[in-house]
Amino acid sequence: MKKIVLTLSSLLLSASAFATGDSTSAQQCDAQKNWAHAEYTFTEKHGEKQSQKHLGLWRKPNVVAHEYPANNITQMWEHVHERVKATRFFDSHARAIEYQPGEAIHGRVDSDWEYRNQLIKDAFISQLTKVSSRGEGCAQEDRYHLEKDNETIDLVWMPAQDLLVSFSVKRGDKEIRWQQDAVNHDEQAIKAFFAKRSEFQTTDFADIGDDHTDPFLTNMVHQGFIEAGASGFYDANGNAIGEHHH
Amino acid sequence: MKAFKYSVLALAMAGLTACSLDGDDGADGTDGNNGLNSLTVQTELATGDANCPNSGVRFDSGLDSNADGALGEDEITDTSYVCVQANTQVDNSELLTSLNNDYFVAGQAEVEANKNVWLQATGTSSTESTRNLTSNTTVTKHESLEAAVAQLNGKAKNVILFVGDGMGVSTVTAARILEGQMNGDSGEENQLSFDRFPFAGLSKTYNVDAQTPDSAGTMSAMMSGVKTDVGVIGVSEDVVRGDCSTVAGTELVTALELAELAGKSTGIVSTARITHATPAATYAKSADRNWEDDGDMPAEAIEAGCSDIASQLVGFEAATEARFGADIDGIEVVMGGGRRSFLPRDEAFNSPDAVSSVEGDRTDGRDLTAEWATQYPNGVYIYDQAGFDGLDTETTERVFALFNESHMQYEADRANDVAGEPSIAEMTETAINVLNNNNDGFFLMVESGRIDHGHHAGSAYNALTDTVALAEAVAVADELTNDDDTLIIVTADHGHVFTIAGYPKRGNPILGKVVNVGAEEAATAADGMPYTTVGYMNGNGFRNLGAETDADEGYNYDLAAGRQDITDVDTTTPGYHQEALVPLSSETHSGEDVGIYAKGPGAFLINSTNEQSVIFHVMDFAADLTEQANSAVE
Repeated sequence: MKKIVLTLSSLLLSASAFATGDSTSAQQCDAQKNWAHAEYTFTEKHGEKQSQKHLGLWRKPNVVAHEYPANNITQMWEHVHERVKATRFFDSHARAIEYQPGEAIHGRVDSDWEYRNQLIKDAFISQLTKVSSRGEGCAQEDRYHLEKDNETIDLVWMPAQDLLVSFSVKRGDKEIRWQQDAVNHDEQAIKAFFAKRSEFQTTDFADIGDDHTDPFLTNMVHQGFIEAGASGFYDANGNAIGEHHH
Repeated sequence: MKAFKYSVLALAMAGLTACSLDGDDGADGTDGNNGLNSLTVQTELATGDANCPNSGVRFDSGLDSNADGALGEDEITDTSYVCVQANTQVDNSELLTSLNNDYFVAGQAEVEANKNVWLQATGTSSTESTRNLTSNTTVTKHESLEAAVAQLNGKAKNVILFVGDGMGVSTVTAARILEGQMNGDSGEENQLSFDRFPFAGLSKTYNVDAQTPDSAGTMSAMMSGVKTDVGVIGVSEDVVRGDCSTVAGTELVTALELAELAGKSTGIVSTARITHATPAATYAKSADRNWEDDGDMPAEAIEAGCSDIASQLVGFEAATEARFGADIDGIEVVMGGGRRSFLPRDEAFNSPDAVSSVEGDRTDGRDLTAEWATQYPNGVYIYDQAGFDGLDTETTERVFALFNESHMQYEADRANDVAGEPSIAEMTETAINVLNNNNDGFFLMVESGRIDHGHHAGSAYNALTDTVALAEAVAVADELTNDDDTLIIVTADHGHVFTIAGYPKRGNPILGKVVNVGAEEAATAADGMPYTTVGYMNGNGFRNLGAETDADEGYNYDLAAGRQDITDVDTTTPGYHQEALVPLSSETHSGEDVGIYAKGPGAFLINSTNEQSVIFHVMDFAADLTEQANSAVE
């Protein structure tokens, strides 16, 4: 009898231990999902030609940023009350332009949080065929594949962390490829990344035209129009004089 | 015998005289050449001819020197005219086409009405006393008219100033057409509410140091009667922008302050941040319009003792009392956006409808909304539609409403707000209903602050729908007040480089592409592309008529399906000046005059072309603000 009780209780104990382990790992996954810094290389090949871009994906809870080191520009999106609020940081100028939810940037309104946060939408992934899966828990990696309309699509995706590992599309001699080069979940570093940018002087997009004296802003505005050949200065007979330097 | 002799002599002599003394004719000489023909040509002249306006005939004459039988231009040596006499009288029956025309009839009626409006406004009953003044080209003194005008001093118990930020004349025209078209008419003949005001004038908007102005210098001029520099709030041109140490001694007095001192109730309403330049100019003094909260100020300015605009709003009563040594009760109605300047930069202070992860911008830890509530226990602080709807205007003593973190929504986007926002007309109605509880009257400033933003963003639709919304607010104010005791002025701080052009046919959708008179399809420009009626004059202009830009040589694949580049940023072009990187924005303000539309006591004083600062003086005269404030302070 004792043996059975012991066995049962040890079974129970190990069962509960197992259960606790699961919820701990779920929490860990959340932490990894919400605090992430991944570096990507985006390569485009067309026959012999090839070009590359780099993108840094930075995440903290309800916030995601895309950093473009080549341009010193970071684009950030905040997800609050189902709205997507964008801010564009001009890193080398320590300035930022803040957009309101629903405001159009280059005619486009950012309302797709998932697209910005994940780089790829769940709806798109579900169109692909899962080929294999390896690892488990937070580290699980799923492989997807699809061939359609002369295109070959391959995707490696970490479902627990909503992180893209690699993605490629080939069609004929054209290919594009996203490749994750590195990833970490260093909260301190991520906090520092966002903290630095939160110190930038921000200007609402709507207010760009307000300050005529700020050279950073006036460079963003279409200013006036030049009539060819007119210096704006004339002699007493109304003849245009050439360039006038003060 | 003698007789015979004589007769023989006579005969002989007679015989001699019968002979001619001339010689025989010679032979004929050769014929000379033929002479030239003289030609005269008659040409009929139609009515309207320069020489015979009423028709006639022109006679050209000359010699046909080339003998071709026609009178050439070079052969004319004389021209004369015989003209039909012009009428010296016209019968009504000959004018029937004009007299029966609707526009003609309406025009006559309007002139008659205008005459009566003028007589009424100036308090005169006959045209005699006003005739000389109105037809003179220079202003001269006329005693009877002066007396009539003097009677109007102080007749306005209430003053309402509506400011359409960026609402230049082209904006008003286009908005008028849009409103008319939204009502199913062709639009051009429509009138916005303030188009119907009896008096209109022009305002010269330049700032002291700028030919094309900004909102700060212009609103300071309107509120204080003193033109000042670009970018400064409530201070004179002697200030140095951005230098706190130069503020002391340059502070101006505003109509709102005078109204408070005079015992009136006061209110400010704006669809922009309540700390933005236009509303700020009613209550704040600042060397820089950008100092909306302490987080926007440089350390030197804070150390030098300057306050940010948000804290000046909350501290207005104390500061004004200290300055004038008088007792006032503070601004009764404050409604607008810009909550972030009143809250600390700490997500614990986020409002329920915040859209930023950290809403507030203040770095000094102060929650100004809480400070206001402490100062005014009978006041109501609200931040959304529900709060607004819950206001009882008859019992509410004071209201402070901040509906958005930053600017409020465009009228066209109001439905998208997280917790809802009232319209500018609704805010105006509520404000007036709270303010008119004061028997001494009130001063209210209402700004439609985002017409300018719509223009800056190149969105004519937003600019114009906000203008239409402003016109509705004006109509509401007009309804709620009396022409006898309320002066309403509608104006703009400055214009915008917004144009209405091309040759669209009557009734063409104002926001649509140009379709010419007689055509059904859009007209095309030299490049074969259609173009819109409205446009922005700066720089390249931006065409976005729905044409997708082609996928480039690269192969940017949208990971979410479709064809969008995940990278917004073109990483092959460094710097921020590239089109891809620049927040495509913001054509500039314009420098031309803007309209002033007014009704109520003293409204006609905005007649003619005025310096913008004159608007303060009209309000001051109509409501006798300075005198009333002075007697209250003494």
